[in-house]
Amino acid sequence: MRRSSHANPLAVFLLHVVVISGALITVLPLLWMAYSSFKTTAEIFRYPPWLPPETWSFHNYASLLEGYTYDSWYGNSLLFAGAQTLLTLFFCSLAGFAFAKYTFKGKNILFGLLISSTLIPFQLMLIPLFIEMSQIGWVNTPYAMVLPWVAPAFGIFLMRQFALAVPTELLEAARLDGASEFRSYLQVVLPILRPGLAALGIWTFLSSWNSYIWPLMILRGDVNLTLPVGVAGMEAQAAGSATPFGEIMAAATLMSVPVIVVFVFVQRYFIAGLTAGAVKF
Amino acid sequence: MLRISKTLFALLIALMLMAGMVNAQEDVTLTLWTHDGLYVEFFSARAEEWAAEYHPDINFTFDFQVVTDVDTVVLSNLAAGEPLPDILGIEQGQFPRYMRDGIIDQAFVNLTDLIGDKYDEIAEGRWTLYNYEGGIYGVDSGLSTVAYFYQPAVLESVGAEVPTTWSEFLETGAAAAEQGTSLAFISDDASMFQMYFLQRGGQVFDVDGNFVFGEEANREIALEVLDLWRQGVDSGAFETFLTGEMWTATPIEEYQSGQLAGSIMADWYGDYIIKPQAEDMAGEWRIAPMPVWDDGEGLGTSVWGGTGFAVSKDSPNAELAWELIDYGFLTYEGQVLRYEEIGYYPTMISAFEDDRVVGFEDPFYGGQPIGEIWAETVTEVPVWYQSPYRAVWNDAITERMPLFFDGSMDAQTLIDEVIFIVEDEIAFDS
Repeated sequence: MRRSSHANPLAVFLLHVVVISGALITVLPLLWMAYSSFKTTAEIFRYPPWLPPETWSFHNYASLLEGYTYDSWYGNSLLFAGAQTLLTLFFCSLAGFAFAKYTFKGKNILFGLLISSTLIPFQLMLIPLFIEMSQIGWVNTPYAMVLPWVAPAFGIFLMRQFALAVPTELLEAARLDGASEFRSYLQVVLPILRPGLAALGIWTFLSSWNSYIWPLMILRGDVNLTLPVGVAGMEAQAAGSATPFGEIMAAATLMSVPVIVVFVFVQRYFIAGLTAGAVKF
Repeated sequence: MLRISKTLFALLIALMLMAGMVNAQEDVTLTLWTHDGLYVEFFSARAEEWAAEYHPDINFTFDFQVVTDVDTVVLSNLAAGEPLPDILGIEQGQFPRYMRDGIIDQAFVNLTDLIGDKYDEIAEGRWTLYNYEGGIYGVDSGLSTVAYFYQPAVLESVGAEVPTTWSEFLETGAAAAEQGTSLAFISDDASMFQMYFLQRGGQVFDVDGNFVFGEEANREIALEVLDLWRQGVDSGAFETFLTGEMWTATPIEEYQSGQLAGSIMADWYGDYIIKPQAEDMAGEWRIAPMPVWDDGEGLGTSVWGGTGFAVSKDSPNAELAWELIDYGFLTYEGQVLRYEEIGYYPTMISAFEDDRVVGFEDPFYGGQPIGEIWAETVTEVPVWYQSPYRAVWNDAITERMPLFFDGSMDAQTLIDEVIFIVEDEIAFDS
């Protein structure tokens, strides 16, 4: 029996209500943030709160760039998130490839250990890791911001799942053609891993971009901060004068731009990558 | 040839002497971390004066910074053996974190002897909240006492007068509520409850840090405060907010619409909450003393807030750090300048006689000399004590207060559950 292609109109209507409500709940705060970045403080607190500004003023943006080391925070965030993303993609794909396609002693135990490490909450590792960074003299250095996070267990697991799909015959053919193992990885495996790399890249970039507690502990001095820590301190810096709500909104708006851009352009890979990786064992 | 050699030799000696003179000026970098930029502003100004007056022989660099989440950073540094700043501003609500495992005593200087006779010049309650096992570890930055911030036009529009006692508050509040106006708000924040509780004479912990909230006298006081709140909430005299709402635009909108006539809050509330968020309400506000209990028991005011400045024990400049705190916070002139420059009220009782404090007519309050209101009760600032278990008490109160507000938990159950939770936690740790 053929299934009817006509969906129940009530179900369609309810579906639209749920989806539109969800979209509004998600988008309205962002819209409010963006609108507020063009308003004065008095206008920000006017009711109803979501109306567009009476006059579009860039004063908050100018004041943000003049009064704070926002450009430094932005540069630092881009540098740390970019470096962490590239290194994570390299190390995770390499390790994932090894776990998927090589046989070596203790492989299963090692993989089990790796997976079980994901059960350890981040908060538990924080202080020991900080002590380690302190003892090797890496506090307030870019190394401490990037290197401890370039081989996450989740990333290795995700890459392994994708690498499992690489046909072994392809690797054997490459070997017969005289390719080294690393060249096989670069020229045969990496192109096939592309959707997974996109998903892991976005995940890593977002994690690093939004990271708060680690940079808070590691970084010292205003110009060395990242965006989340710098923006969080803006109110305290302005103590005694009116809270710079407009500047904070401008900072948050600019801060969300790379995240939105990255996500819009590669969301197809992100969703496909995550769902594909989730079902291959 | 000999002449040239002699000249060169003399020149060399002269250069060495000059270098020696330059080196005689010692280089010192003094560091300060705080959560509030105003302290950076204040101490930067004082440091320049102090250095020029008392230490012209030292070449100072003042590295004073606002550090986001400063206590998390400091406690992490302590765990890792990273250096601490010479001077640290510890917000009083964070002080219990430093009391855990005696961190405060291990890492910071016991200031008791250094304070000496100046102890008696300052409102006592401003010392006790930085007390740990009999020692004082912080010098407080402001009075933080409580009064009634109100809008006379709103009260007038509902035919209400400023209440001076809690029974007047309930009576006036009930009548005003019938016309759609609440006199003040309360919230589920445990500090709000503590503010009322301390005014009535209650104590959560004693001088030794023992939990005394469960003792009969304190339990009774807690029930009296909750009874006042119950009556006020039921009649509409009190509006209720959750903590999340309390610092947002919601109360400001209600002030502007006349739905809320004012708030019973600490001195900083006007400068740091109302003024910045409602600049257009300048001239519409006044301050009156906090209503008192009708039976005359309790105090004329209460307290909420403060930041204690501590000196790091491992600092190579601990002595200089203390000197600067003393110069800024424990001199008459420093106290007055602190009020003039960053708006924090003096903690030194005699400073309330200074015309720059009591004579200042703030245009935001219609030219009212508001310093006089704070001066009235400066000797009545509640004395209270901290404990590492304060956070447990705070959480227990805050979690239950919304249930009390909506009537699904009665006062006795709330108090008894809080007592049980804190005592249980203390018993578990011991």
